[in-house]
Amino acid sequence: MALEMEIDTRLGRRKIDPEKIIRFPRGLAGFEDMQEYILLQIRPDAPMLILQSTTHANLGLLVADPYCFLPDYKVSIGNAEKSLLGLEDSEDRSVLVTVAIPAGKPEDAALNLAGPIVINHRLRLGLQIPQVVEGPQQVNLHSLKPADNAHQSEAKQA
Amino acid sequence: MGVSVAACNGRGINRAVLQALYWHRHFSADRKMLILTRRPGESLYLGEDIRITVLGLQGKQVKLGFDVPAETTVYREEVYKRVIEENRKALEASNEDFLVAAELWH
Repeated sequence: MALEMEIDTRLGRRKIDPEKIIRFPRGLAGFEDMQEYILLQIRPDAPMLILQSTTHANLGLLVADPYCFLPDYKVSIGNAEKSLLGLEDSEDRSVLVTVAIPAGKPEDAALNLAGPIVINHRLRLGLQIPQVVEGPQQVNLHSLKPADNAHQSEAKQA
Repeated sequence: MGVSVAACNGRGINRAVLQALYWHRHFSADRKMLILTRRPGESLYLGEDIRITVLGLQGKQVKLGFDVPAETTVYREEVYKRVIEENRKALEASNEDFLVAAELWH
Protein backbone atom coordinates (compact mmCIF):
# COMPACT_ATOMS: atom_id res chain seq x y z
CA MET A 1 0.00 0.00 0.00
CA ALA A 2 1.45 3.30 -1.07
CA LEU A 3 2.09 5.97 1.50
CA GLU A 4 -0.28 8.87 1.46
CA MET A 5 0.32 12.44 2.43
CA GLU A 6 -1.96 15.41 2.81
CA ILE A 7 -1.22 18.77 1.28
CA ASP A 8 -3.03 22.09 1.02
CA THR A 9 -4.08 22.90 -2.53
CA ARG A 10 -6.09 25.65 -4.12
CA LEU A 11 -9.03 23.25 -4.06
CA GLY A 12 -8.57 22.61 -0.34
CA ARG A 13 -6.83 19.85 1.54
CA ARG A 14 -6.12 16.78 -0.57
CA LYS A 15 -4.61 13.36 0.00
CA ILE A 16 -1.88 12.60 -2.51
CA ASP A 17 0.41 9.72 -3.31
CA PRO A 18 3.97 11.01 -2.83
CA GLU A 19 5.11 8.78 -5.68
CA LYS A 20 3.03 10.90 -8.04
CA ILE A 21 4.98 14.06 -7.24
CA ILE A 22 6.69 15.55 -10.29
CA ARG A 23 9.95 17.37 -9.77
CA PHE A 24 10.62 20.45 -11.91
CA PRO A 25 14.36 21.09 -11.52
CA ARG A 26 13.91 24.53 -13.10
CA GLY A 27 10.52 25.28 -11.57
CA LEU A 28 8.02 27.02 -13.84
CA ALA A 29 8.68 30.29 -15.68
CA GLY A 30 8.33 33.00 -13.02
CA PHE A 31 8.32 30.40 -10.22
CA GLU A 32 11.77 28.93 -10.62
CA ASP A 33 12.14 28.17 -6.92
CA MET A 34 8.96 26.08 -6.69
CA GLN A 35 10.04 22.65 -7.85
CA GLU A 36 7.54 20.06 -6.69
CA TYR A 37 4.12 19.66 -8.22
CA ILE A 38 1.32 17.19 -8.50
CA LEU A 39 -1.47 16.88 -11.05
CA LEU A 40 -4.93 17.14 -9.52
CA GLN A 41 -8.04 16.00 -11.27
CA ILE A 42 -10.88 18.49 -11.38
CA ARG A 43 -13.34 15.88 -12.57
CA PRO A 44 -12.81 12.37 -13.91
CA ASP A 45 -11.93 12.19 -17.61
CA ALA A 46 -11.66 15.95 -18.07
CA PRO A 47 -8.74 16.98 -20.30
CA MET A 48 -8.10 19.75 -17.78
CA LEU A 49 -6.08 19.30 -14.63
CA ILE A 50 -4.50 21.48 -11.99
CA LEU A 51 -0.73 21.53 -11.79
CA GLN A 52 -0.47 22.13 -8.08
CA SER A 53 2.64 23.02 -6.08
CA THR A 54 2.97 20.61 -3.15
CA THR A 55 4.46 23.36 -0.98
CA HIS A 56 2.45 26.49 -1.91
CA ALA A 57 -1.30 26.00 -1.79
CA ASN A 58 -1.99 29.09 -3.90
CA LEU A 59 0.31 27.99 -6.70
CA GLY A 60 -1.98 25.88 -8.84
CA LEU A 61 -2.31 26.40 -12.59
CA LEU A 62 -5.03 25.14 -14.84
CA VAL A 63 -3.45 22.94 -17.51
CA ALA A 64 -4.84 20.86 -20.34
CA ASP A 65 -3.80 18.07 -22.64
CA PRO A 66 -3.30 20.03 -25.88
CA TYR A 67 -3.73 16.93 -28.05
CA CYS A 68 -7.38 16.62 -27.03
CA PHE A 69 -7.91 19.87 -28.93
CA LEU A 70 -4.97 20.32 -31.29
CA PRO A 71 -3.79 16.94 -32.55
CA ASP A 72 -1.05 18.62 -34.62
CA TYR A 73 0.44 20.77 -31.86
CA LYS A 74 4.23 20.53 -32.11
CA VAL A 75 6.66 21.09 -29.27
CA SER A 76 10.30 21.54 -30.03
CA ILE A 77 12.56 20.04 -27.37
CA GLY A 78 16.25 20.92 -27.54
CA ASN A 79 19.12 18.71 -26.44
CA ALA A 80 19.53 20.59 -23.16
CA GLU A 81 15.87 20.03 -22.33
CA LYS A 82 16.04 16.35 -23.29
CA SER A 83 19.00 15.96 -21.03
CA LEU A 84 17.33 17.78 -18.10
CA LEU A 85 14.27 15.58 -18.50
CA GLY A 86 16.28 12.39 -18.93
CA LEU A 87 14.20 11.77 -22.05
CA GLU A 88 15.55 8.87 -24.04
CA ASP A 89 12.29 7.56 -25.35
CA SER A 90 9.44 9.75 -26.58
CA GLU A 91 7.08 7.13 -25.07
CA ASP A 92 7.91 8.54 -21.64
CA ARG A 93 6.78 12.02 -22.61
CA SER A 94 3.54 13.85 -21.85
CA VAL A 95 2.75 17.43 -22.81
CA LEU A 96 0.47 19.90 -21.05
CA VAL A 97 -0.26 23.55 -21.78
CA THR A 98 -1.53 26.23 -19.41
CA VAL A 99 -5.07 27.51 -19.83
CA ALA A 100 -6.01 31.18 -19.63
CA ILE A 101 -9.50 32.08 -18.41
CA PRO A 102 -10.67 35.70 -18.47
CA ALA A 103 -12.24 36.43 -15.05
CA GLY A 104 -15.82 35.17 -14.94
CA LYS A 105 -15.74 33.95 -18.56
CA PRO A 106 -14.81 30.28 -18.49
CA GLU A 107 -16.42 29.88 -21.92
CA ASP A 108 -13.59 32.02 -23.29
CA ALA A 109 -10.84 29.73 -21.99
CA ALA A 110 -7.79 29.58 -24.25
CA LEU A 111 -4.77 27.32 -24.55
CA ASN A 112 -1.38 29.01 -24.19
CA LEU A 113 0.89 27.55 -26.84
CA ALA A 114 4.15 29.35 -26.05
CA GLY A 115 5.02 27.58 -22.79
CA PRO A 116 4.24 23.86 -22.95
CA ILE A 117 5.07 21.76 -19.91
CA VAL A 118 6.80 18.52 -20.81
CA ILE A 119 6.79 15.66 -18.33
CA ASN A 120 8.87 12.51 -18.28
CA HIS A 121 6.34 10.38 -16.45
CA ARG A 122 8.77 7.48 -16.01
CA LEU A 123 11.24 9.63 -14.03
CA ARG A 124 8.57 12.05 -12.71
CA LEU A 125 10.50 15.03 -14.08
CA GLY A 126 8.98 18.15 -15.62
CA LEU A 127 10.17 21.20 -17.53
CA GLN A 128 8.42 24.17 -19.05
CA ILE A 129 9.91 24.78 -22.48
CA PRO A 130 9.36 28.24 -24.04
CA GLN A 131 8.61 27.92 -27.74
CA VAL A 132 8.98 30.25 -30.67
CA VAL A 133 5.42 29.92 -31.96
CA GLU A 134 4.63 30.73 -35.59
CA GLY A 135 1.11 32.15 -35.79
CA PRO A 136 -1.27 32.61 -32.86
CA GLN A 137 0.21 32.13 -29.38
CA GLN A 138 -3.16 31.29 -27.91
CA VAL A 139 -6.06 29.26 -29.20
CA ASN A 140 -9.54 29.87 -27.92
CA LEU A 141 -11.17 26.59 -26.95
CA HIS A 142 -14.43 27.93 -28.31
CA SER A 143 -13.02 27.76 -31.82
CA LEU A 144 -12.04 24.09 -31.44
CA LYS A 145 -13.88 20.85 -31.41
CA PRO A 146 -12.53 18.44 -28.84
CA ALA A 147 -11.14 15.31 -30.50
CA ASP A 148 -13.96 13.38 -28.86
CA ASN A 149 -16.84 15.73 -29.55
CA ALA A 150 -19.62 13.56 -28.12
CA HIS A 151 -20.22 16.16 -25.43
CA GLN A 152 -20.45 19.17 -27.70
CA SER A 153 -24.20 19.61 -27.43
CA GLU A 154 -24.09 19.13 -23.68
CA ALA A 155 -21.36 21.76 -23.44
CA LYS A 156 -23.51 24.26 -25.30
CA GLN A 157 -26.36 23.87 -22.86
CA ALA A 158 -24.16 24.16 -19.80
CA MET B 1 10.74 44.35 -15.12
CA GLY B 2 8.42 45.45 -12.36
CA VAL B 3 6.64 42.89 -10.28
CA SER B 4 3.06 43.80 -9.64
CA VAL B 5 0.72 42.02 -7.31
CA ALA B 6 -2.32 41.79 -9.51
CA ALA B 7 -5.89 41.49 -8.37
CA CYS B 8 -6.86 37.83 -8.21
CA ASN B 9 -10.63 37.74 -8.03
CA GLY B 10 -10.54 38.60 -4.37
CA ARG B 11 -8.40 35.60 -3.51
CA GLY B 12 -5.08 37.08 -2.48
CA ILE B 13 -2.30 35.07 -4.06
CA ASN B 14 0.47 34.45 -1.60
CA ARG B 15 2.66 37.51 -1.80
CA ALA B 16 5.73 35.39 -1.10
CA VAL B 17 5.03 33.44 -4.25
CA LEU B 18 4.99 36.55 -6.39
CA GLN B 19 8.01 37.95 -4.65
CA ALA B 20 9.84 34.81 -5.60
CA LEU B 21 9.75 36.00 -9.19
CA TYR B 22 13.21 34.98 -10.20
CA TRP B 23 13.40 37.30 -13.17
CA HIS B 24 13.13 40.35 -11.00
CA ARG B 25 15.72 39.10 -8.57
CA HIS B 26 18.29 38.14 -11.19
CA PHE B 27 17.81 40.68 -13.91
CA SER B 28 16.45 43.79 -12.19
CA ALA B 29 17.57 47.18 -13.41
CA ASP B 30 19.69 47.84 -10.32
CA ARG B 31 22.19 45.20 -11.35
CA LYS B 32 24.94 46.70 -13.50
CA MET B 33 25.36 45.50 -17.05
CA LEU B 34 28.83 44.86 -18.37
CA ILE B 35 29.24 46.39 -21.81
CA LEU B 36 31.88 45.24 -24.31
CA THR B 37 32.43 45.83 -28.02
CA ARG B 38 33.15 42.88 -30.33
CA ARG B 39 33.62 42.41 -34.09
CA PRO B 40 32.18 39.62 -36.20
CA GLY B 41 34.25 36.49 -35.66
CA GLU B 42 35.23 37.48 -32.14
CA SER B 43 34.07 35.64 -29.02
CA LEU B 44 33.44 36.11 -25.33
CA TYR B 45 33.62 33.62 -22.50
CA LEU B 46 31.05 33.62 -19.71
CA GLY B 47 32.61 31.70 -16.86
CA GLU B 48 34.67 28.75 -17.99
CA ASP B 49 32.33 26.84 -20.19
CA ILE B 50 30.16 29.27 -22.12
CA ARG B 51 31.41 30.89 -25.32
CA ILE B 52 29.41 33.42 -27.30
CA THR B 53 30.62 34.31 -30.80
CA VAL B 54 29.46 37.21 -32.95
CA LEU B 55 28.97 35.44 -36.26
CA GLY B 56 27.91 38.41 -38.32
CA LEU B 57 25.75 41.46 -38.86
CA GLN B 58 22.82 41.61 -41.24
CA GLY B 59 21.21 45.04 -41.30
CA LYS B 60 19.76 45.57 -37.83
CA GLN B 61 20.29 41.98 -36.78
CA VAL B 62 23.22 40.40 -35.01
CA LYS B 63 23.85 36.71 -35.47
CA LEU B 64 25.28 35.04 -32.37
CA GLY B 65 26.66 31.57 -31.83
CA PHE B 66 26.53 29.83 -28.45
CA ASP B 67 28.80 27.06 -27.22
CA VAL B 68 27.21 25.98 -23.97
CA PRO B 69 27.27 22.90 -21.72
CA ALA B 70 24.73 20.20 -22.55
CA GLU B 71 22.24 21.24 -19.86
CA THR B 72 22.30 24.98 -20.47
CA THR B 73 19.01 26.17 -21.90
CA VAL B 74 18.96 29.24 -24.13
CA TYR B 75 15.71 31.18 -24.58
CA ARG B 76 14.81 34.43 -26.28
CA GLU B 77 13.88 36.99 -23.64
CA GLU B 78 10.54 38.00 -25.11
CA VAL B 79 9.48 34.35 -25.35
CA TYR B 80 10.45 33.58 -21.77
CA LYS B 81 8.73 36.72 -20.50
CA ARG B 82 5.60 35.78 -22.37
CA VAL B 83 5.54 32.40 -20.63
CA ILE B 84 6.01 34.09 -17.22
CA GLU B 85 3.04 36.29 -18.03
CA GLU B 86 0.92 33.33 -19.20
CA ASN B 87 1.71 31.43 -16.01
CA ARG B 88 0.79 34.42 -13.91
CA LYS B 89 -2.52 34.78 -15.70
CA ALA B 90 -3.26 31.05 -15.50
CA LEU B 91 -2.80 31.39 -11.74
CA GLU B 92 -5.20 34.30 -11.44
CA ALA B 93 -8.21 32.39 -12.72
CA SER B 94 -10.66 31.58 -9.94
CA ASN B 95 -11.58 28.09 -8.79
CA GLU B 96 -15.17 28.68 -9.94
CA ASP B 97 -13.95 29.39 -13.47
CA PHE B 98 -11.71 26.29 -13.33
CA LEU B 99 -14.65 24.09 -12.44
CA VAL B 100 -16.93 25.53 -15.09
CA ALA B 101 -14.23 25.23 -17.77
CA ALA B 102 -13.63 21.60 -16.81
CA GLU B 103 -17.39 20.98 -17.13
CA LEU B 104 -17.55 22.66 -20.53
CA TRP B 105 -14.69 20.64 -22.02
CA HIS B 106 -14.78 17.10 -20.79
